[in-house]
Amino acid sequence: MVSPDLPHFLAVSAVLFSLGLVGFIARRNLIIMFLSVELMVQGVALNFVAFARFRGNLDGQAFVLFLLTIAACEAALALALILAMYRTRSSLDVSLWQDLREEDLEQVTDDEPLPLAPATAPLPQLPLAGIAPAKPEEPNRV
Amino acid sequence: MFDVSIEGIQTLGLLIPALPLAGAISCALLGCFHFGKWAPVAAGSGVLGGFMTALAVALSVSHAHEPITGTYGTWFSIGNDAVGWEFRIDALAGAMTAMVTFISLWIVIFSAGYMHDDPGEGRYFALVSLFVAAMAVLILAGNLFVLFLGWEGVGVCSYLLVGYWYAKPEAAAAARKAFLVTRLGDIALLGAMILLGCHLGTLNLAYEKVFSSPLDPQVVFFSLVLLLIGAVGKSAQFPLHVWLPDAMEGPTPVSALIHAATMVTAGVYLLARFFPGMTGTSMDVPRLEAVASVQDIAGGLGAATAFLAAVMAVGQWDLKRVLAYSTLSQLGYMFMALAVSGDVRDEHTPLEVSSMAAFAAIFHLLTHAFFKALLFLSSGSVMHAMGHVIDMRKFSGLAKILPITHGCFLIGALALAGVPPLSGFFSKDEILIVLYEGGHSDSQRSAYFSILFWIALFTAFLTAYYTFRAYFLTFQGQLKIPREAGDHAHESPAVMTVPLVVLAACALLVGLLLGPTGSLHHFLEGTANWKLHESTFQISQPMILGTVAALTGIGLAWLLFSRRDRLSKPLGALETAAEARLYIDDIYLAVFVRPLATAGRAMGWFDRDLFQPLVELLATIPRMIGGRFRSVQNGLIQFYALAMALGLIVILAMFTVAR
Repeated sequence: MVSPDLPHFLAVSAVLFSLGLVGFIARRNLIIMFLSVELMVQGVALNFVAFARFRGNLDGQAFVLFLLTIAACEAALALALILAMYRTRSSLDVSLWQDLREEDLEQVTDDEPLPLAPATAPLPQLPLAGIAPAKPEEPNRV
Repeated sequence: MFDVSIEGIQTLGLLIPALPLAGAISCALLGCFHFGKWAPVAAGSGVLGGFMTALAVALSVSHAHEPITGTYGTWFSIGNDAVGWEFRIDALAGAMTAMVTFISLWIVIFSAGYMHDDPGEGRYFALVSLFVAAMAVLILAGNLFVLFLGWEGVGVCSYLLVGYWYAKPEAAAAARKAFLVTRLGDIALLGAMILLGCHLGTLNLAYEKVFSSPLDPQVVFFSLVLLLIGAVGKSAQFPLHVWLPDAMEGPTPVSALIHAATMVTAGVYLLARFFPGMTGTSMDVPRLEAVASVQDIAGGLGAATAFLAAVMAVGQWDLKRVLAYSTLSQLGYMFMALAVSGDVRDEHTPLEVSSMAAFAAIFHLLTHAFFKALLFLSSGSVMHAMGHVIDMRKFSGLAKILPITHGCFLIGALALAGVPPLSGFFSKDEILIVLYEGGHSDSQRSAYFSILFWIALFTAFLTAYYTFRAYFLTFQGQLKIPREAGDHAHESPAVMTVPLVVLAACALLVGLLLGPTGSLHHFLEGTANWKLHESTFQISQPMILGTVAALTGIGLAWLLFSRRDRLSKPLGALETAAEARLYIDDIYLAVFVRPLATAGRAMGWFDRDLFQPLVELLATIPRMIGGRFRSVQNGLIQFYALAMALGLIVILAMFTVAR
């Protein structure tokens, strides 16, 4: 059994990062893109840990702790944003959001767009906190 | 008379502007919180406080022959030089502040009736109080910087008050004109300060220091000329007189306050301080000659103003404008008096001669303030009754419905005409005597003073004529009331008539009390840098000539206007020219305003049609380059990500190659 050396770790992290990058560029589904970003972050984190291990100090480990914290926050925010975006356009296709292009450019349309989500019943709206929800009409009692 | 310690006088001196200032602040606050109807009370009490303290100061400094200097801290300092909040309190300042605050007090009371129910009452009274405070600072100032503060303070208050009805285009234009024309003078005053500061090498321009420092005669000459230009602007003398008649667009009590009693007298006051002061006690002939030549200029301008304004007043149909031109004319009198200078060969020293001349000017200033404020307020009362109509062609015979106003106006008119024994007689007489004596002295300039004397005498005749022309047109003859007055043309309420009666009593008595008894002479003997020689009241030739001129003028007005066709122009072409203000405004329009406007339009053309396209041409180059790359911003996230990744690869490749 050969104990892994620094280049091995770096190779794995480079593979992780590249997979993430390719995924981010090639895929259109917002959730997949988000997961790809996570993959890139993990690749970087692995880099840090590997260097910390082979240089013999804890600086890299400390960075990774921060990285994990931030990744957690980012996940919460990103998922919430994705949900909100999904609600407005009923689709996870990233190419539907091109509003920040130059004014006089045409919108780029796909030849094969992602299928729209099937129409579902609207999500239930929660009442304001502290107000009792309206009860459904009781059926007539005879 | 009063026994107040020096510290006490210093404190009281500070209170003279401070109390009206406090009144101004309270008025502004009341106005902000919709309690504007209480503003007259606040303003009145502030000004009343100012008057009480001014009176106390005047009575307590009358016997101190040294000026009392109060320093209330440092205003600003540059390097080792500091300019302090310095007041200089002496008899002249005491008399002036007492007069200003007294008249302002009655004007505030009159305004309470005149401006009743005006939506801007808070603003109006705040400005009036602020004006009084600024005027007090101007009078009490102990150095040129504090003087300049007061000088600009009255200027800005005058601008705001003349333009009080700012929605009216004429009022806004008049305010702008007043501000810009007086500004020319203000720049000259600033120039005088700079000149004196440069030559004294200090910012400490206290009067005492300026007067007592040895200065080059040329510096004396030019600094006095600049001060004279400043005074000419503020006191509306000949080349810069055009703003005052237009300033009548403001509310009438403002005309009484600013354009009769206070602000326009600032120039006379300044020169009355500086001509005798700069003459000094030393017999330095080149310096005396320098001061005297500036005095000659002042006299020439004064004579031109007095005469031209009197001629212009002859043709005016607007009652307030007649009074405005008479103010110009009377200020011209004061400038003429200030012109009298002495010569080392004279019986009296040059300082004594200049001091007597300044005394005559200040005496006329004081009495003029009373009767001119009275006349303006009376015309305000007429306007109030006539529904704000002031054209004398539209009303007549008002003596029947406005008995109190009529009586007060008559007293004011007699005083202005200089009929004995009213106040104007004594003070005008004093000026005539000074000029007459100047004309009969050994001085080289005696011929010049004689000419001034005859101009003054002829102006006295014109004054009486146009004043009584206005009186006969307004108050005598058939009763005629303009439509704007409605059926309610009636005498003004007591709050307006009481100030009229008080000021009428003053116009009747002030001259008699101050002049022939010698009490003002005695009082002002304590003025710093003045030296008055004894003079006793006696019937003299100029006095008789002056009275005859006044009575002739009144008689001529009576002949021409009491019975004949009232709207005729008995003097023909002269009156037409006078009505058009002797075309001076038109000349200014053609010579200064129009060319400037044309130049402005040419500049505008250059800017808009020449430089603008040039600049825009330059701007198109980056716009074109940018346009090439704009399509990169297509809004696709993945495109951006790809671009970043490729960019990163390129950079990394470059690094690798570079190694």
